[in-house]
Amino acid sequence: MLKVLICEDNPDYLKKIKNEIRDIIAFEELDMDIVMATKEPDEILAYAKSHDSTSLYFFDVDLNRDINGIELAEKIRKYDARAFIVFVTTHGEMATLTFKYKVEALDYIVKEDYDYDRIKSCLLDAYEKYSKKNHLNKCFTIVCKDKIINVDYNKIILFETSETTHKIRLMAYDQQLEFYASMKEVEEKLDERFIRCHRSYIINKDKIEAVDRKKHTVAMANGQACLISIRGMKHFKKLNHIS
Amino acid sequence: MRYYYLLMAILTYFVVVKSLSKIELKRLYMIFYIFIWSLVMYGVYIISEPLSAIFLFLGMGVFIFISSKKLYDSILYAAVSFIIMLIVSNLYFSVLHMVTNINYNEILKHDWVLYTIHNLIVILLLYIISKAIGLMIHHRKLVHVNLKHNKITYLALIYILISLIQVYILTYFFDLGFKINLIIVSGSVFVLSLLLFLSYLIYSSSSKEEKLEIKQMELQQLATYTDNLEIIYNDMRKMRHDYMNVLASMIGYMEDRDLDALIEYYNNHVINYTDKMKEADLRLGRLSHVKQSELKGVIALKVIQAQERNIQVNVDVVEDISFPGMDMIDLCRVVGILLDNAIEGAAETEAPLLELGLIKKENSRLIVITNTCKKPEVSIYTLYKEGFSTKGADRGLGLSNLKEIINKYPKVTQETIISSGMFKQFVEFLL
Repeated sequence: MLKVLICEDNPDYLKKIKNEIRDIIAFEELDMDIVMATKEPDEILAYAKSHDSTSLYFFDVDLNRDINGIELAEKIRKYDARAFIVFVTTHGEMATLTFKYKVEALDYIVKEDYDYDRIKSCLLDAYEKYSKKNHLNKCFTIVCKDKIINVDYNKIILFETSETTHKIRLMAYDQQLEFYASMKEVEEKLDERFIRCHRSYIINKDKIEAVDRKKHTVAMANGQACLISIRGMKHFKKLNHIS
Repeated sequence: MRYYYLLMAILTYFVVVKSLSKIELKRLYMIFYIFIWSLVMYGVYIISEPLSAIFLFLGMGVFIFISSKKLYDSILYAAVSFIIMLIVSNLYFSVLHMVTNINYNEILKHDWVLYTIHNLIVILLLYIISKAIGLMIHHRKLVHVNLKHNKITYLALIYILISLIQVYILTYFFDLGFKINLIIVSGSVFVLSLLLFLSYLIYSSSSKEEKLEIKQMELQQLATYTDNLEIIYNDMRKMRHDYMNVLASMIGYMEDRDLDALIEYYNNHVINYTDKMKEADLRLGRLSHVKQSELKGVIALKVIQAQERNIQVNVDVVEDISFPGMDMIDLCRVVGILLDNAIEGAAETEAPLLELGLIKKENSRLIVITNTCKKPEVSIYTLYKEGFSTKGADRGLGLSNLKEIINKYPKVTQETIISSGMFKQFVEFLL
């Protein structure tokens, strides 16, 4: 069961959103339950501390207490790392990017254009993700200090070392990102479709366009040309790409 | 035989110019040009050797001008290269003369093998020296040293031309005796050192100018920012005044107990005001959280530029923030490039939207810039390649510059994603 917790300082609004959520859960027959609806952020924190489970939280941004909803969400993440967080906000407090990238909020609801469908989609979204939690996709996952990187193996074209040491760049067709790791660590996480063709490159075999055996380079699906070391050349003997 | 010497001279000259300057010389053209040029010079050479040297210089000047279309650059590079070439070869043969006591000038004129060997050594020397001078001139890739056409650069050009004439006369009109060699050696060293000093002067004055310009730009940006804050403040004051009026008129309906009229009035009037107030705040008001005024200036300027192009802009900064660990100029350039790109990208879409978030996390600071965009036809890798632009030539330096700047900082990482019509850029600063 997915537990729902609500924190909102305005008692009328608290009641309203609580009723809406209860109706949606009943109507959609979701395995969810509202375990707390309060104006005190401390109660929410205490609950999260004492319960070791993933919950769905609705937080007002302005709580009229010494911490605001965003800070509360940050604290909650420490106890409930996979928490689903939805912010309830007014236009004036709207901070969509902060919601998303500071506390990885699931979504937000704007009080002024309050709508039932939005709340419903938040609940369904959280429920779906919650039910799927043990189902792991074939993803490259690496945990960095303040973020978790998740990229589908199918999308990755290659990894390359950055010009600056210790940074590794992941290249996909419509994504590129950098993180701190060693090529060896990366190599160990990957499956057999990836090959280390050079000291500075790990490439996805499925994304090879052509191999130039004379120049010792391999052209990838994103237009990038990677070097092949003499040792790396052995990987290409089995492949049938001809330049 | 003479023709061979001439070609060698032209080749040497090219090596010096090429390693000294960053001018792109057109290849195909070059062969044809050299052919004509050397034929003309050959004709002149038969009449007089010194005159052919002048043609050598002019030929190169014209050629650089054809390639670069810049008069000042072509005179400067042709002259400096010519001086370096004459001095270095003079020095080389003079020193050789002093050490071995044989006058090579005469011998070499008749022995082309020996000539080639010595000339190759000279070319190597020239290559090293001119590369070194060239690197010094273009040392700071960061701030592109653009020679401003002010007094000092023209003075320098005149001086260079005078020293060119001096070296030229020394080389061709004093026959080389041993003592004269000494004069040439000391004279050359003198000229060379002055030349170095001068190029340093030009360099430092132009970088000073550059710094001044950057400062001025920052001031300009801050001024735009404060101007806009003033406008927003005035808007807010006006709105507050209107708001009071609106509330007052609501009392009228309440006294009449006319609920329907009140609801209608609320929907038609009050909601409009709320929307207006929301917009004012979402733009520049939140920039007061940015604690680096230069950065604040850049963002304000770009936000205003975006609004002028009818792009909806949301600025998302909820708490005081600064970005440590990056040089201020680099930081402003990074944000400037990202916002410029975002504006260009958003402007091409139906409902243009640009969002900027400055986000404080536990161990890092994050800049997020997202914009609506058309689906790009190429991969992100291609977007970042030097010289690539969807806008045609000369404009594709943005993203490759960005990569270059960020690569300098080990604690700064970057991420780019294109998904569902949005172009998203992230720059993360580890604390």
